[in-house]
Amino acid sequence: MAAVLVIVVAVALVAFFKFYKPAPGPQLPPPSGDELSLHVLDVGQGDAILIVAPGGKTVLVDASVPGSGKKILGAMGRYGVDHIDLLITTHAHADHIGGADEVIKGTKVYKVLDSKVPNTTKNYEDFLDAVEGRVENPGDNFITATPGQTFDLGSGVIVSVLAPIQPLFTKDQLRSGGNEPNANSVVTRLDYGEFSILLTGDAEAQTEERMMEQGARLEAKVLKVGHHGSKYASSADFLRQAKFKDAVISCGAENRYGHPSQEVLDRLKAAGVRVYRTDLQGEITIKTRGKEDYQITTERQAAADEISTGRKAQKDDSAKSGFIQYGDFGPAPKPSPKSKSANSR
Amino acid sequence: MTQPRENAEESSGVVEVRAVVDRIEDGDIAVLSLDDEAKSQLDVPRQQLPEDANSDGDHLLLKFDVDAKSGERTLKSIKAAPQARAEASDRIKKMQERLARLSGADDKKNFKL
Repeated sequence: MAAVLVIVVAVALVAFFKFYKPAPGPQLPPPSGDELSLHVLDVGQGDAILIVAPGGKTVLVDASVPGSGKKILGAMGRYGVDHIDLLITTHAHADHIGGADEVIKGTKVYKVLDSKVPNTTKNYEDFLDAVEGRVENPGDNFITATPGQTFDLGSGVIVSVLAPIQPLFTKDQLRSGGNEPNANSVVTRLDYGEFSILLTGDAEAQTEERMMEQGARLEAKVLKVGHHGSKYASSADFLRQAKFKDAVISCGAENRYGHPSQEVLDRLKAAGVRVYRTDLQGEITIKTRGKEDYQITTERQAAADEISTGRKAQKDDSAKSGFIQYGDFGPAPKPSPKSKSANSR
Repeated sequence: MTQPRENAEESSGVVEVRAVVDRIEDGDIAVLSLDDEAKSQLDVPRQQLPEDANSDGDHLLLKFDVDAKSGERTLKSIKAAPQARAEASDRIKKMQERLARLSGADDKKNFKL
């Protein structure tokens, strides 16, 4: 009898460990099978990502630099979008919220999700003004991002909030190169059947580590690379854990900040992640029906060695006079492609 | 780049422009948002900022020399403007509080769009 009991327990244990999978987070509805499109707009050195769900619900993640409103509204027009159901402002820097007030004034925006970590800039004031003045019932529709929140776009599309995680990072906790708005960026993921994308704002390694420690659901097919490819984001551990297949970097062709950095491009390559860049390839579109496969297309073609070559930061070109000529900081350095053999996938 | 709005004194070939440190990129380059209609941006090496005003949200007063013939402007000095920062901080806090008073959404977890 005891032997039978041991065998039953052993079989049960084997079955448990064979078939047990950790909880995948919220129960995801089945995909409708209709097409979802996600457009990483070519808005220079900033982020603006337009998502159109199969049923017509829309999300805009960030609104790039001041003056981008026209470009974003133009893209919405191209894709037959006449409103935004959810505007996610990942953080209060001008390359992410710069055009947010223009978008809010230029179309109907129903909900705004924000970290609410302020920046004492006119951009942020204009953004808050627009929310207060143009978003209906802003008390209910200006939402503080909190992990665990979900936004149901219908058709089986769910956007979930992963960060910022409380308590928020404070100035004294930041690592070299970091700042509070970046560290407390709103990080979300979108799931649609088998497809998933992680949208990281300007979150850097410190935020990635906190999400990993907290067991956030990071594994996804596609990564919107954090902080435009800054060397301080997309750590090797993070890439290893999240197992991305593809990555999109939104950055400007003339940026002088060293985005994307060679370090990040090398880490992505080492992790076997295919990279797409708006600075070289223009607008990047991802289409999926919620199945295992999805399509990524780009506005322009770029050579593999160009894509795998980072930019160098132009830290100081003011040596001549000791001060910077207003409006004449000089063009950012262009990437010089390395040899093909070193960079091709 | 768009020329700054002449929002302060402009005399004897000197113009003053208010600005805010929007962010420091990777610890090295300060991105300044200028107080002009176009919300122009000016990148400055961080080490050129005053020690007491070199972080996100710090307010500054920039002084440019204007060349009478070419109109070219050269940045000559950067000063901290702590009072302007305090005023902006106060305004934003009040706006956030006003919005927070209306709020009923923050306890909600699941939203149907």
